[in-house]
Amino acid sequence: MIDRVPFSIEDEAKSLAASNAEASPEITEIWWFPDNEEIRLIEVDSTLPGSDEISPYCFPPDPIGGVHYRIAIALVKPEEKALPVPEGWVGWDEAQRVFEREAA
Amino acid sequence: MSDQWDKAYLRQASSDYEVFRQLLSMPVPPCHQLHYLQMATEKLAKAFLSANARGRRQPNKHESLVHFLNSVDAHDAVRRAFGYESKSQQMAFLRSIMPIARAIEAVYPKALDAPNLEYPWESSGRVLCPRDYDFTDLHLTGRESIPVLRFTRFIEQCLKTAEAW
Repeated sequence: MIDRVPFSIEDEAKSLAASNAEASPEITEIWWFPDNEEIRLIEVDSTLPGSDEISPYCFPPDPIGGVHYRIAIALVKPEEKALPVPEGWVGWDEAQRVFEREAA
Repeated sequence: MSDQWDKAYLRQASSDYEVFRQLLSMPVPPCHQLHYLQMATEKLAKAFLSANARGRRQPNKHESLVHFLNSVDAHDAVRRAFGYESKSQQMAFLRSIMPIARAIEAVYPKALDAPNLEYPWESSGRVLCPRDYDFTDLHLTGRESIPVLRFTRFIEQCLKTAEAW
């Protein structure tokens, strides 16, 4: 039961975002789209090939890696932030930027 | 001789890739997820190589992905679909995903006693099994998956491009 998980989904989302940013220097921003049951992130990478949709990759929880919720991660180019977010996600206006890389 | 092998390779690649996406969301050993990704990428590569060879059947060998990546500039449709402003941007991206492509191609069961996605092997007197093995360069957990996801983004764009043929 999700409501018994004693871990903060926001804390885990931010930790996951920090790991992803560290692993991939191409990522310039990460946005967290709040949800009670799933960690939802959109990660911005200007080097990607273009796409006409935002399609998240879904993962099961990874308790060994410190993630106790389902995970959905989408990769987008900066200009693709204008595309509709995945169905059921809150809009960009409710999303929180949890990582921004400083310009070199 | 039939000249429609390119479309058949592509059809199977798309199906394999759909199964990979489904397996990604399940708590299964990573060898199974990676096996479907490996099969999808091999057939996708063969689809493009076949299309460049008038739809002819491709040699019955696993190693086609890296060959395809090295020749992707020859595919105008792919280059256009990627939407890069310059060839150097496209080449930089392809270089960045090449280690993942090589790692996927390296884990075919082509040699005895080497890590692979399908069969047990022996190492230092121990018999090891794919389902228990940590494929270090190909992590697929949410925390460690970004390099592989950048690669799969490329694969998805290639599939979309080819499906418009």
